[in-house]
Amino acid sequence: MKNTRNKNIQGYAFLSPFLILISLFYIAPSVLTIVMSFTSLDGAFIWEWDGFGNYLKIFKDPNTVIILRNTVVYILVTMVLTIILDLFIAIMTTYFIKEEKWSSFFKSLIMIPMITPSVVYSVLWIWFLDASEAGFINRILISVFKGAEPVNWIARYPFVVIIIAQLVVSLAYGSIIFSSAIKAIPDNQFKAAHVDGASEWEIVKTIIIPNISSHIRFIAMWETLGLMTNYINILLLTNGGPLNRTEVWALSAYHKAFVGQKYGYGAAISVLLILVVFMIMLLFKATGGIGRRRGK
Amino acid sequence: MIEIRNLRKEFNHDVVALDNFSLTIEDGEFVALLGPSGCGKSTTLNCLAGLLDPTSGIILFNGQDVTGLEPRERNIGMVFQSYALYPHLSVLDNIAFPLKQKKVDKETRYRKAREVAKVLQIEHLLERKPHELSGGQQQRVAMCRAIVKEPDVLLLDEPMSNLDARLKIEIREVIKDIHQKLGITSIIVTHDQEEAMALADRIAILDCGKTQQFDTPDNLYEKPANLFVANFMGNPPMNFIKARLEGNRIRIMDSYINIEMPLLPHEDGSDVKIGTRSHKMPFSLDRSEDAPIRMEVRNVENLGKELLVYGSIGDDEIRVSVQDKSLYSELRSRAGRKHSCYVGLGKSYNVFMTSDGNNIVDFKEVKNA
Repeated sequence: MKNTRNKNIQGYAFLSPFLILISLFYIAPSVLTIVMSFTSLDGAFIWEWDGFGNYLKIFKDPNTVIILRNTVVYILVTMVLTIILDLFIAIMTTYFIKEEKWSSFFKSLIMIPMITPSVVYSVLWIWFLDASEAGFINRILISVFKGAEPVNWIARYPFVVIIIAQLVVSLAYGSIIFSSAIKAIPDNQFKAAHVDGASEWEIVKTIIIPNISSHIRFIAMWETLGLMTNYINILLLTNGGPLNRTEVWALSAYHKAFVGQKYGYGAAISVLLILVVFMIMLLFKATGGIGRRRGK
Repeated sequence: MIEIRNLRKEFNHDVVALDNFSLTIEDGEFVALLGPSGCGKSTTLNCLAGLLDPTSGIILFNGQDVTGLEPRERNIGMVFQSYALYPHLSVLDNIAFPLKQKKVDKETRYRKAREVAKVLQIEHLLERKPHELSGGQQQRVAMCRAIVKEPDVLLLDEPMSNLDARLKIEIREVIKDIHQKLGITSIIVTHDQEEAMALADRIAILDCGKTQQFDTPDNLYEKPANLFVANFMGNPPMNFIKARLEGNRIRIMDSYINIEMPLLPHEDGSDVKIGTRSHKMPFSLDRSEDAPIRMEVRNVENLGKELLVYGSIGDDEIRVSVQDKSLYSELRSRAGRKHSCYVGLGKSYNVFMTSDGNNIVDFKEVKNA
């Protein structure tokens, strides 16, 4: 009894530097954000209590509906496409391409966008989609269709651009997770299914996907949270524009706080975001999390 | 009828798992592929199932070449060592799965699944998931799944290796029953000679990708073709005694015994190993006409129905069954004092050439083997 307590104390002692750092850099700012959301803090840095003023302002702002709609569409479309493509890549590189050499080649290819710094990556996209004749796609367009006018891709299809740009970055993580989950399926299940006369599509549908369903749920949650809070690519590519067409919730918090210098208002937007994130995490936990795997 | 002709399978271009392997299996026959691990028995089964493509050679089902066909085009049922049930499907859906793939309508396939489940006595488990079942029950489900589509061939890949001793016997009976009832041509892969003996009409013994002998269990036991087969079959294992053929006599240590068995032509003075079963060796406490070879007694076990005496002739370890249990205390005391007793070769034994391991007894000439 005494021994275990001693051990616990030792454990906490070893953990304490880390715990202190975490509370200093993660918990304290969260608390500060919540407090800040109830003030009218701005560029003058005067902490003045404002009650629910900021929250009321959010609900009254006519742009809120647009931003909310943008956010939901952006997250849903990107998340669903990411999962479908992740599954496709994972099944292709793990189940169909049996040769290790090729499958790891494809997998490392997909890793590249993830490890590229966002700024470099966005510059590439901007050059790629540039409105003038110097843009890569426009150059191809003009050389293929003689006399075609260069297209301002980002201005014309801003939403498609940010979804595709984000999609390519997102692919690596999910497909690696799915691919290792598929590897963990006992080989005999595939053999049995082949003997039982299942087609490849049937095997994907009734063996691979049910076997990795908990991983699919995990990636769905992970991508949703990531897309909710991460706005770097949108900021660098379209900066929420043109007008409000690609403004999403997290980006609007940044815009209000750092561009408009309304720190209190921006904090209130962030607090609402954190609440939603919490709810999604609870929902994921309630539906079983990743730990519960069927079968042996 | 299944014919395997000159099958060869290489892995990674240099590992040869099967080499020039041929086998013919009659309709409705139960055949066991028996051998140590790495002998190519599972490779053979996977080639038959179409899960592996042979490097060369052909496989015929009822005269039709199926070598290039997909597993699903061969109408086979297969049972795996690790059951390989689909974990997210209920038992009923697991059993009905092969029929679903054949586009059988829902009602018919569930009816058929229930029928086979009844035969294997698992109808009370149909709504459960595989992980809620014991190993024996899972293997019954796997059996159901394999036979529900009424396959031409049933392939069993070490189906009992993951089960404990009692369940092994239970599933063995289930397999035997199913084979008797349905008469499906069945092939079982196993490394357990007892299992093979209990189930199979004929057993192919494999080693290093080659058939050593393909025969009935009885012939494998009584007339092994070579040392490898003799070593593999029977419990307790066959006794081997170093000897030399001199004219029409066998010399073991310093005793001479007349050769009782007809032998194939051989060189005089050849070194051989005499292979005898423990229960076929005459035994006596003192040297006699029947038992002229001196054996040092090392230990004795009382098995209930008989005694099993452990001893050595020269440096060969020997086991002899003794029916007369009243000798137990005498043998115990001799074993304690490292004294000897005497054994003979009897009327039926095998003679293996030391050089190539082949049995040179001419069984065609043996009247009552």
